[in-house]
Amino acid sequence: AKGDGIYVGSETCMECHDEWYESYMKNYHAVKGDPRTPGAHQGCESCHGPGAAHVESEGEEGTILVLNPKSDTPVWEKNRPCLGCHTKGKVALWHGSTHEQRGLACSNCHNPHQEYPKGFSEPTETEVCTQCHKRIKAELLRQSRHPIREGKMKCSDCHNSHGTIADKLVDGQYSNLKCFECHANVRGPYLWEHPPVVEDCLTCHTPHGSPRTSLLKAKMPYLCQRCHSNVGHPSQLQARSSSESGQSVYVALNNRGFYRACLNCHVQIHGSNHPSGKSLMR
Amino acid sequence: AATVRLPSGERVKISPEQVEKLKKQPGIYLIKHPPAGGLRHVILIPLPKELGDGFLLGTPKDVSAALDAVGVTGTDRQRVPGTFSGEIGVTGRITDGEDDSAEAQEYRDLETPVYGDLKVKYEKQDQYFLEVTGKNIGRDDQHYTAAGGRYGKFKIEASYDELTHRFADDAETIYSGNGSDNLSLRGPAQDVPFADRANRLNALSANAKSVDIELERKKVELSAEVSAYDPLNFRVELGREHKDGTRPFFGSFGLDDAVEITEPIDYDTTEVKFIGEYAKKPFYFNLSYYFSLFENNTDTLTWDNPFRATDAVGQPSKGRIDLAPDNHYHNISLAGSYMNLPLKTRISANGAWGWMIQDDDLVPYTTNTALTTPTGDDASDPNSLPEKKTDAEVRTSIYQVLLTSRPLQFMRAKGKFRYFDYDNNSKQIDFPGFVDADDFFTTPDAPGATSIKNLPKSYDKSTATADLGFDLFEKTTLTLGYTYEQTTRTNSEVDKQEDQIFSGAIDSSFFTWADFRVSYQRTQRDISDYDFDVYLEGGEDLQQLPDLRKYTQADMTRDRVQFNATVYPLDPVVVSGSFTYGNDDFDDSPYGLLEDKHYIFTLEADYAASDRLNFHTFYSFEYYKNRQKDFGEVPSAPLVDADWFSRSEDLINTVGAGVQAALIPEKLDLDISYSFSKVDGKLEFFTPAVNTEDFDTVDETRLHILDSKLRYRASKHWTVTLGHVWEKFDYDDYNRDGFTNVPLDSGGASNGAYLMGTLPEDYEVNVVYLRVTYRF
Repeated sequence: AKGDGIYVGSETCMECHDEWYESYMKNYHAVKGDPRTPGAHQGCESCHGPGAAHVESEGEEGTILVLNPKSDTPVWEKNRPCLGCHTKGKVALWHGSTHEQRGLACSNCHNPHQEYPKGFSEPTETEVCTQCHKRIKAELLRQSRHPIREGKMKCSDCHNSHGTIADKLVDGQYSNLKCFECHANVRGPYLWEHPPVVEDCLTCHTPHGSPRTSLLKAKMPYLCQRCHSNVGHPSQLQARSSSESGQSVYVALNNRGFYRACLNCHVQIHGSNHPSGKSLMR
Repeated sequence: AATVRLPSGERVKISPEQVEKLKKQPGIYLIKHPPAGGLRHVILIPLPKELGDGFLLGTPKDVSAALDAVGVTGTDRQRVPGTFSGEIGVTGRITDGEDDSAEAQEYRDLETPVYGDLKVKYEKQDQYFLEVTGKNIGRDDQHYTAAGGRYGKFKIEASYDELTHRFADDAETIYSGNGSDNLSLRGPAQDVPFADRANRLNALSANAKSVDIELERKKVELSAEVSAYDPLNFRVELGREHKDGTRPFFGSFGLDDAVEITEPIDYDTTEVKFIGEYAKKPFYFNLSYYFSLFENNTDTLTWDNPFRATDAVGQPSKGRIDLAPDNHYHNISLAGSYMNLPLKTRISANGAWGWMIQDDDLVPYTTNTALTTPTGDDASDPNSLPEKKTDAEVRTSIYQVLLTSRPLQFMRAKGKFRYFDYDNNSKQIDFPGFVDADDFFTTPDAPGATSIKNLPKSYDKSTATADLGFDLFEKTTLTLGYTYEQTTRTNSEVDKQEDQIFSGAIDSSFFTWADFRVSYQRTQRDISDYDFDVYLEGGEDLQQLPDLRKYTQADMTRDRVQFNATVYPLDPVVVSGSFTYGNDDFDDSPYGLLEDKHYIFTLEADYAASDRLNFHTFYSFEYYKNRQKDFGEVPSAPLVDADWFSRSEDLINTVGAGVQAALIPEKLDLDISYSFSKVDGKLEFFTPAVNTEDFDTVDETRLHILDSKLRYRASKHWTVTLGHVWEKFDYDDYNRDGFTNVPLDSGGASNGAYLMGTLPEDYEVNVVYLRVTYRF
């Protein structure tokens, strides 16, 4: 049975699986000097189980633990060797996490037989994640985005796919804190606050890519008018026909509708520390 | 001494005396035969005849410690000399097209003609290592790391990273001093009559200067990790980032006269992180501390008013903005879990406490020396302020308990409770009024109010979640979930908000040729009464603020439907697709966002035609639509009953395709990929009061990327790559058409705006490169 029996040693595995052995040897898992690695224990058999039965049966199916994502091995069994050692750090909150609940095996994203960073199954982390998150794959081609395409940021800079206490697997205690790590200038707290900044940056921004500048969720000024919808100049319609007004659309729109719209004046949109900054203009 | 082979493959020399000593080491046993039932957590070391046959047995850790303790030091391992490995690459390239375009180079450097890459590792096998990497060496986006340590004991790492963010190249400014805290007009200051603004701006524009607007981040990080005392592990991280440059910004003087300027950026951010962990089944503990210090080396930005040389009431000669204040943040967190509860149950708990602190000096109300406070003090004098400093502080706390269980073989359960508190203890400051855009001193107008004060916002969220999963039949599971979330707020329109989320999903891999998932989620949000008067407590009766309608604090019904499938019709073909429908319905909102809807369809296929040939295609269609309704004041007809509606639509198509071919196995590879993203935006308006003008060109973008490379492995050591990248970006928006720097109406009138030209620009670039890599 899988997982029982006598160990035969990694060199025995190599006799048939030389390609896998070679790739494994290039991986950190093969480092024997670290007592936590499979290399310091039973090598291949640390993860795949004792191989005597497999050798004796000349590779009969079901005699060894097969971990690749397409195998019939139940997910919990596929994950057992990994979670036997990886119990802390980024993996500490795996149990009950979104990906665990979705029935993902570690081998869906990682392949210790590859030379890729962190044992990924694809050359880059972004390629691993966008295998499933296809909407985000498209969003990364938008005009406004983070420098992910250039490789200067990666998904795990903001997310921990193994589980977090925040929503959306954001690798922080709550999503704003994650944004503030790079955008500490927005953190404040400010004298005059803009409430959505206090509660959730994602009220106005979409992080993976947007057709709008500054990763905004909607076109200005209509984004602002989603809340500032009632009475006074913020709610005025900024789309009056040029023939109606007798002016070009830019002038008809005053300072409020064109270019960066509300931000033409309310530049301190994340908050102001100026005694006269109540309207976020100073 | 005899040679003994360890299970890891390593060979060591052991003497009979050392065997005697080894037998006495803790956790080491000498046995004659290996146990029949197999071994899980221990290893066996077979002893040769010279050492008396038999097997030494122990955990890898005990064996390693025992070998060290008895002086088995002259091992093969320690005699193995250190080795160098790695690769060094040099790339030369020719770039054609708008390679200096800010849009093309937003986050990268296309102009440096020669750059390098480096990865060198020195390793004393299984003991010590030192690895140095360099990426894009010599470019504006270069990155370096150096890491060294002893396997299983410690690791020390240092990194240096540069990142650019370019906003505009050749932007036109009418100011000098860009990047400093004071922008002076490039020409004499003048008192300009309202009607002459167009002439004034055109005159200044003739003397404008071209500037590049960009930021550069330089970040140094150091970290140390100690794993020698496993299961107790420690990690310390230090980071220091300097961010320097300029960003597009605006300075305005009231409802007109918005002048685009540059914001000086000179930030330093320092971070310290400590993590201590203990992980030994069934326990896990974590203690972490995080500190972040933000320092802005430019406190304020002052700029000249293009239309005013001297201060007067309603006519300031300068404006001043208080830039992002220095602040710091501390966070302590504790986490723990225990996994051996009955019914395969695991419990984990987290607690975290944070402090955000900001105590910057307050700047005077205005630069306008003609303005006085209600008590007659000079409003531009800092002594006229009631306080000198901000004294702002927020305390956050989080508590979470998570229980996961598998009480029955076919059933999974999860329960979670989370409480988050954002407690804003910032000082409330009573100001006698404020200066609106450096124009006028405005006093409180709320009934009975004598001061205007800030209203620090606090909120807390309590979230309880329960999920149940059932194995319906082979490889098919049903998951049902329910979440209740309550949000309470102070100094906000809605005191209490309740969200109920119901969800269900079926996942199946029942068929050998397909996996699929279908899920549905409904969120029902209910709010308490909407308090329109909360801002009156701040002392001001501003019409628009008390009556605003926040869509995030409104009754809402949210639906999400998702279907994902991966099909394996033939062994070398994988086809995956997804469909997503989402709708946020704010039917009970009288104003603001009423509906936010999207449909997304994706299709992806991979075809491995042979070991040497792979094809890949990707397509996605996205449709986003939202509707909103606003109260109907329109310019020049403010009292007309003219509630207006708008409908925004974005249609986005994305296509990708690629081929990888081994033209000559192990020698010559071809890799070609192409992607195209097309965004079409539209805005429509409806109001009974006036004719409206719809916008058919809203952030319309086209991006093509064609990336081709031919890689030739000349020998074991040398690889040559010849590549070509073509990118073409087109951007069109109703906001950008019809003017350059000074928007004028058909009669030549100006609204006082001067624009630098910082919106996205079209570009097309071709890059041909040759990379030579030496691997050793």
